[in-house]
Amino acid sequence: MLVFVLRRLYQTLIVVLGVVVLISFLLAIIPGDVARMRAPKGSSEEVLENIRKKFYLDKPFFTRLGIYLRNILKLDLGESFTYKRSVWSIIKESLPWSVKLALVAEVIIIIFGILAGVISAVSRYSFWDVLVTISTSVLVAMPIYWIGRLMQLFFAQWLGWFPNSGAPPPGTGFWGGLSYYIMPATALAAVSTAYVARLARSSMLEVMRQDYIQTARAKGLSNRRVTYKHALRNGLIPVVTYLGIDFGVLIGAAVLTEMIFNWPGVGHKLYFAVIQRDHTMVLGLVFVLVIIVVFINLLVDISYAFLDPRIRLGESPEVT
Amino acid sequence: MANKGETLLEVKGLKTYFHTQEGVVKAVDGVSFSIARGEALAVVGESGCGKTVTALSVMNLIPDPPGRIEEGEIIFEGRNLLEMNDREIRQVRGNHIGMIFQDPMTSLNPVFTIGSQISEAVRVHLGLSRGDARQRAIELLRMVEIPQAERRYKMYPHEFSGGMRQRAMIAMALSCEPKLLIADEPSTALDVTIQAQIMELIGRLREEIGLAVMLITHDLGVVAGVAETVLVMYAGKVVEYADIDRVYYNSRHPYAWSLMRSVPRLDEKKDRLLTIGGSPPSLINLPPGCSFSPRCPFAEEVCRREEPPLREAEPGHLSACHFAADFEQHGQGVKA
Repeated sequence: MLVFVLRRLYQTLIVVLGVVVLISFLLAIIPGDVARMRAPKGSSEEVLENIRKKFYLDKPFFTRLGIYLRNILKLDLGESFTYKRSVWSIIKESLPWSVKLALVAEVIIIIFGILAGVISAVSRYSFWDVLVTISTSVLVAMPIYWIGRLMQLFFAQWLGWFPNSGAPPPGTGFWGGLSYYIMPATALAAVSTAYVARLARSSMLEVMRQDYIQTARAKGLSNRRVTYKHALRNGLIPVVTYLGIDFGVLIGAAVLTEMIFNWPGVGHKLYFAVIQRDHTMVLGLVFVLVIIVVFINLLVDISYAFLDPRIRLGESPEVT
Repeated sequence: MANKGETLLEVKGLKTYFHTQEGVVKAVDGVSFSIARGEALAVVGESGCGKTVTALSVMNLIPDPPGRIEEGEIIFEGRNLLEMNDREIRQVRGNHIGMIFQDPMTSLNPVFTIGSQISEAVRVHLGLSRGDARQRAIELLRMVEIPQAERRYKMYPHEFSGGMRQRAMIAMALSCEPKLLIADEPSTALDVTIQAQIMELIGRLREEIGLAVMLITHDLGVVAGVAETVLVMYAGKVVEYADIDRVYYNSRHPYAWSLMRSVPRLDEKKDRLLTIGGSPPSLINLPPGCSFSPRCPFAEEVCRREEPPLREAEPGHLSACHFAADFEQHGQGVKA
């Protein structure tokens, strides 16, 4: 187990390094003079030169990369061009919003995705199964910016049930605050919910065909017990994998959702950082997101051992 | 035939069909037999002859759709299982009738411990507390000769070998002291030495707890040591039904006769093993007349025209062959 975790941490290091190098390279080849975008219009060449010096833009690519990596080792993510503050402070502000939004989305995915999947597997070809199949197809096919806009139109503009966009302002109570989360979290969860429903359905159908389900029935257990104890525990293994991996994605890839709902999370920050060529900001955000995603994947792998006793982490498979 | 003790299970005219896209598969087509208390009946036949479907029908575990029990009665201790509702049949399953399956590698749930799977049935049927059920499960593991039962209780199926898993399955099937054990090819997936151990175990438990056994197998060698009565099935029908000695030494049906002849024997010197030519017929399109006639070395005109009924060839010996009464002479004649 410990060996497994250490090996994974070592792999994480390589992944993070690779991502930082790749993003740095991409940023370097994006056209546009960063210094000119930063400086006020009509600044002299001298001012531009100062800006370049400050952010090492006058240095060659690899020197810049080296400086950046050295700073990262000192846990210094640098200063943002646009905010004139340390990138850390901005991440500290925005990351909690993204994590909270992702958590609410994950709850929606777990409840509706698994429920829909299990129901349609248990009563296969029934009305509910057909309904789930059709609605998941539709949901998967709808882009998030479109669902988001539709929801704003219906539930905010016309019905006025939820606030149109934004995060709950300070001092909002729990329920009032939750109403700000409903629409963005639902939009963020939509595609994954559909996917989880399909995954849970096919996984449950597969499990229900297994011999041990027949054994459970032959023991005289009720259908409910067979389905929700013997089948579900096995059927959920692939679903949990997906949910775990997806959680990292929900935090990091909520850019569209956060833009549409004006949510002050990292996706929102990332978008503007890219638009404004805020290199340190982009690198800092991506760096933190990569670490989160890799860490969550590690947790998912560890959780296997608890779900499936056949998996013993870091040991060679037992010969039976 | 069962005329020894009190009848425990009686199956009358059982028909279990599967409704598939290609047509209706008559997996079990009019099967009748009975098992007395403490008796062991072997159901013998090739793969796909309806043995397993017969067993699953008794447990009312036929997957529906596509399968359905169309006709017949399954009377267990005086009550027709087919007329029971869901709750009633569940009280019979696992409680009064235990069942073990062919492949012990896949028949245990991989994510629960052996112990919890055994004690689950006891808790559901006998209402034992967690601790009592645990105690009972450990006793059961000892009964099926699993060493270090306490330690094994906490292990998962993947930590057991095939033979051990089948022992655990037997422990599970017997956990509520059923009166009947249905064993569906319990030793087929195991090594030969383990096979013998498992069959020995079943034989010993039979004597100890007076268990009736319905043993499903295609291995005639297995039958000899355990069963008293043999039911030979072919293409969903019973073709011969008699005491084991009669089927072995005085078979009245060419299929059963060929089956016995195709078992390698140490006490007879033969160059080649006798095999049955051809393959079992499709259960959707059965040939007219006797369904064994296309493969039967003794088939005559009448066999291809008329289906032979199952009738007594001699007292207590049922056979579905036109020439059952004088099969031996008939068979010898053709062979010579």
